[in-house]
Amino acid sequence: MAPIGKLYSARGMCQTTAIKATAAAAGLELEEPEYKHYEDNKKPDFLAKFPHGKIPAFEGANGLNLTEGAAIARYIAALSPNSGLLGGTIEDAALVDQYVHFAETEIHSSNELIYMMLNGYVPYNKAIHTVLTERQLRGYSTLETILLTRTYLVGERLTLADITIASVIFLSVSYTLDAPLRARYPNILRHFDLIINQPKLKEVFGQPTFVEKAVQYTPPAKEKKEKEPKQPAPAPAPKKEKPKKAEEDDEEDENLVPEEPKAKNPLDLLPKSTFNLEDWKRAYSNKDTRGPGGSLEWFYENFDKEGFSVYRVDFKYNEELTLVFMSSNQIGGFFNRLEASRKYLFGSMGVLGAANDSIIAGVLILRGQDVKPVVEVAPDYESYDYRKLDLENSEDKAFFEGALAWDLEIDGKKWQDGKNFK
Amino acid sequence: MAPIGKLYGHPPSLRRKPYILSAAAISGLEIDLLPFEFGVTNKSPEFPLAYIPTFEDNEGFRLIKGTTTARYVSALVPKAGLLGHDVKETARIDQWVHFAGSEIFVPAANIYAGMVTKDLPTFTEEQRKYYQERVERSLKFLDDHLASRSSGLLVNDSLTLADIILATAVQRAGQTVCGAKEREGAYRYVFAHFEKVTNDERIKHLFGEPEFVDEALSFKAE
Repeated sequence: MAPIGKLYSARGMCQTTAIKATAAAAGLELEEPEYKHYEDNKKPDFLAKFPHGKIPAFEGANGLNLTEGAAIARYIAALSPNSGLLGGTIEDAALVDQYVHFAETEIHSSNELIYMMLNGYVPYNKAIHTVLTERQLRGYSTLETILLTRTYLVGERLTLADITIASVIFLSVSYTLDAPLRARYPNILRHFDLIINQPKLKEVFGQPTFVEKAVQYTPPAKEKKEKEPKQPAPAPAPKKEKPKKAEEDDEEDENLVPEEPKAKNPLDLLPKSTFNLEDWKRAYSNKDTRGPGGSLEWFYENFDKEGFSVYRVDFKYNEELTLVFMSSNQIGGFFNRLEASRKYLFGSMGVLGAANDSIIAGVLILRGQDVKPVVEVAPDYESYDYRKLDLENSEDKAFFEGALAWDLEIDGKKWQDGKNFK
Repeated sequence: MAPIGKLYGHPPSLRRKPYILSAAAISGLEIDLLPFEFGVTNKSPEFPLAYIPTFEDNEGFRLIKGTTTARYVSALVPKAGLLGHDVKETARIDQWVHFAGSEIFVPAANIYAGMVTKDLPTFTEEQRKYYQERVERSLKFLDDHLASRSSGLLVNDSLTLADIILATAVQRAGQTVCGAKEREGAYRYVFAHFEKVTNDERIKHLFGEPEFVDEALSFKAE
């Protein structure tokens, strides 16, 4: 049987895997000519067929030239209606489309952007990395819920939806879906295993690589201002062609990207202060908090209340909190997102109470008199209430000390677990 | 004629991207728009996946993801031609829909979020430049393609889903990176396409004011 066309692509792109797996499942043959990305896609004969110069690109034997991985895969599936890859009815086809789209926008887009940041294609920003990771978590979590009650995503047999999800997860498990996360999503793994081991697909997928811990950022050895790559350095890596999500109607749309402000931070322009935050952080770490010779004693001896201020922080939606360790993680996430303000901030926050009856509260020691410029680097800063504390006031002082000593009690709720930002 | 189903997520989401309702209008189908309160309705138990818009037909069949729903609606009335007339045309339509989303809408929307709605608090000039270049590269390619089309439409001679979705993406580009000069000059075929689609009698009312910028957005002294 003759090949249906030629596929120009790079190995490792999950779109490529999905296209090839679809062809294999449909019993159709694809030719894969020799292709070198960044070279061949600049040549006139390639550009004549695919003026945008992106891959994957499909040249049909019947004269159809197509780009956009998802469109190519869907077309191939449509060429073989008996394969059932698009389901049996229009409704099933719509569900297949939905899952394909979901895979791209809710899971793969985060993989891609994280990859680009970690490899210098896009300026790295820890806050964004964290936000993307959490967004992706939501995607994984939804997928796990969907797969709890299903063997295949649509109907009772393999469709393009399963192939696409498996292709995305194949990449995820080598990058962001690490061992601890995989333990939380047994159904995603069960489905993944089922799909990549289907006899017709085994060869296309090959052996997955399972990462132990999600790939982290290593700052470049010599600090040079990272330029955004117009022409990224040649890499075997997935060329971005359908990066971000945010084409979606989810209200939390369009929330990624940026980078630390290049502009001078107004906090650096404040008059010099005698209180050194780094010294405080050391004192807090090395000494007991309370008692003679403790860090609180050091604090009162050295604090400069003109140059710095102390704030009480309370989470606004305590009725939503459930298990203590999850609330603790929430504080951790908030602190991660405050990274950009590390030079201006110290925090000690905790979970008080018991499961399903708890609150998050704590204190911040920060540069200047206004909390907003310090905390607004975190996208979720508005989920917390902030009140400046007066350490001459005995109640405020007791609260401050309790938050630092991790023995704070509020309305009978005792401190269970805490985190420090330092 | 009875509605084919209902849509949760009106108004905010649907006002921003009118493609589901446009597909319905061209296909001669009606969809009920349900009142919706963000944070309340989508957190209730019937919304396990908590995404808007969510479509539900009269038999309880549910779909999320706007473009998926628009495509489904388009598939219900093949005669209306929104998905073309054969497998090849459909594939081309899928290609352009995908392209419009990832290569134009997303980068333009990131600029919009960074500079207009300020949903991205630390959006910088470097970011803006990066996304602008992406959009421009895609618009140039698109403009060349549309210049070669006698119908002025993407795939064949009558309106398809690709044209509708592209118009939404181009609208975002016109609100961010394409000022009057670019719209009348470098990308005139792209914006002529936008005019053509949004002036179609059947869907004019769904697009409303384009809110284009006079000059491409840039960081002046903030």
